[in-house]
Amino acid sequence: MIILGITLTILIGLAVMLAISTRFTLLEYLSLAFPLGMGLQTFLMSLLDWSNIGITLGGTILISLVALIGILFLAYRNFKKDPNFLSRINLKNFKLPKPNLVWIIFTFLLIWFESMNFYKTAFFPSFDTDSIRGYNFVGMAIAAEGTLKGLSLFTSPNYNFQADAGLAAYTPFAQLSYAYVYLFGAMASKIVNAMMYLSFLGIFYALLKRVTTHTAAVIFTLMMMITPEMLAFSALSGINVLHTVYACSGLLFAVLWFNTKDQKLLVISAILLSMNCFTRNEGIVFSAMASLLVLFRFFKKDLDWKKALMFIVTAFFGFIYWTLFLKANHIHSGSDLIITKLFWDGDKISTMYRELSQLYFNSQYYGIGVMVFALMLLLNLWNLFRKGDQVALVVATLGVMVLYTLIIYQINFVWDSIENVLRYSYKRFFFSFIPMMWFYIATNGITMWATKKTDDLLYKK
Amino acid sequence: MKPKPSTKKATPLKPKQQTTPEIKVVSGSWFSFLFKPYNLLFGFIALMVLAGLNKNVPAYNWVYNSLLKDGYNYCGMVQKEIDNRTRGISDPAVKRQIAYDTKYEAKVGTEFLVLKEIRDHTPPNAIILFPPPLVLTQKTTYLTLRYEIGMKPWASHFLYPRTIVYEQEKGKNPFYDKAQYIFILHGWGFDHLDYEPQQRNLIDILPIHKSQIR
Repeated sequence: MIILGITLTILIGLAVMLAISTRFTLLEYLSLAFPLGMGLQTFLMSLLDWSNIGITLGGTILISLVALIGILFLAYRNFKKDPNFLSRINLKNFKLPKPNLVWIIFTFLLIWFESMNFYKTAFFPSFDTDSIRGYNFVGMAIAAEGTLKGLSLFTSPNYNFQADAGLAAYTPFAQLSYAYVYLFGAMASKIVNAMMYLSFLGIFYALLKRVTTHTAAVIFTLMMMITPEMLAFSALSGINVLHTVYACSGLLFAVLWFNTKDQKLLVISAILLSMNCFTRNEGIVFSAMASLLVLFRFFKKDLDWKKALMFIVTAFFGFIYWTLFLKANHIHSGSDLIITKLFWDGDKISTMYRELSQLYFNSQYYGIGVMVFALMLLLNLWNLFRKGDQVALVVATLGVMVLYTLIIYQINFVWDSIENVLRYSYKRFFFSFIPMMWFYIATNGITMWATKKTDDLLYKK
Repeated sequence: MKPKPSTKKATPLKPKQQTTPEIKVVSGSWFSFLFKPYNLLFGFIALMVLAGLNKNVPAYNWVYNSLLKDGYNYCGMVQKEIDNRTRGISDPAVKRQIAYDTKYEAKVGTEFLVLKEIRDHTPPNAIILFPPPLVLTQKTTYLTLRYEIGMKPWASHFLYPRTIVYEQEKGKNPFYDKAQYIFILHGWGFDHLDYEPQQRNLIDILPIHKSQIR
């Protein structure tokens, strides 16, 4: 039964991709299908709940099938415009360059490491404290009770999920995706986390491949994958890695669109960023950064106002929808946690500086990623300022880091000390910047020059 | 003075040499391509870099040895235990439950075993009274539980849809007075019973009211 559920999700994701365009690469279709499908499934489940139909197995399958048929109709229109699509994605026409030894070594390691990681992720049920007492527990209860807004955990006086920073108001992607697999009879929900990380590796490789060589793509995908703290958390049920998948994919697609002006990349970026907002509230900083890129192109007259507006609305849709859902269903999370007006607090700033500076260059958490990124940024200053090399990517990466830090600064830490949040939670927030950094490491001017030279030597007659 | 027109015939220009090297996929078999000198050299460099990272960055060594290899092998050990426990059982639902419990036993440990006992000895709609935090986390020679068991959502995860109420919620939680079962721990809780139990175990799950005893 769970195979049916996962297959349905992948089919919906594939249909969404095809409805956007028939010009993605095979790897992009395969790797984006699950994240897009699951994002859409959770949205449909919340609609079932809001409309009082209830989140049941039958209802979920039915609404999925209706959505699938609708999306396939859009995809069919794209097929008609591109009659060569089927022959293009035929495996007979699928050509890889002659694989070199470096590509083989890194691909072997990538597959080997990920197969171990996938197996151990899916093997154990949720066991980390935050998921046992939160995301997984709520997911399990939603599947049993068929509702999110009327969940006994949120409405019963026996629990305080609606207290300060309580789970009731947390964006629902993780909870609903776990509920989805429970509805299909799974004993544990970790298949979602396993599939999401696997998909992310495919997405990251495919995105790198749009800019650089196969060899560089696999090297830097492996380096990104083995970021110690992120890899460790990818096997847990927390939401940080799920957030990273949507946030980074969405923003990287926006950066690629910025550089190539390929419209399909803009559409997929908006959808992924919307799902990102449905995964974590702070996801809005990624939507904000991508919107700035879009606005830049709009002011440069490279994009018309309708498309720019459509992008911004879609990128924030997850956040807007969830805010309305909470208001309409009277769900809250205690006192107001965000201080809406700007203020100056020297002590808070010095605490943040002290804690974050120790965190950023901690190789135990992030391996060599942050250090190499800083080094590459320094070495590429000339390329960056004189040639505009990867400016959009650098601005997007540093921009989201600044915006995210600003959000942390604006939070009223009523439920815990700021030191604890920075030490134990921010290290996980930081995951969403790591793939951006590795993308820059892989695609900056110096690395591109080196990888091109390497390929020249390898493939020269 | 006008310059004389040149009588020399214009010599045809030599074709310009391409500045960028033309990249062609090497001909010949894939296997022989693998053993080309540059391929071997870069392959060797890649291996050296990976070995260097593994040796010099402790975090990568931890990723490979502890996180991935040990983690994967641990799954194998747990799977063997599941196979042992499910040998001779044909009902797939029972098998799945045993596998699920064994995995939690491996990951969470004693706290799960205690909660599993409570789960197996109470009906799904039960309201269960738990001891206060000091009793729950009391260190003894026979049983010491971690603080998580005192977190209601954490403990409730393993007992859902049963309801947990803690002793310290007396007078604050309407479910307190409705509790039907009590988690006896380190001898705490006997004074809540309206009958004398047959045995006074240090750890037990008992109905609070005599009328509930079957």
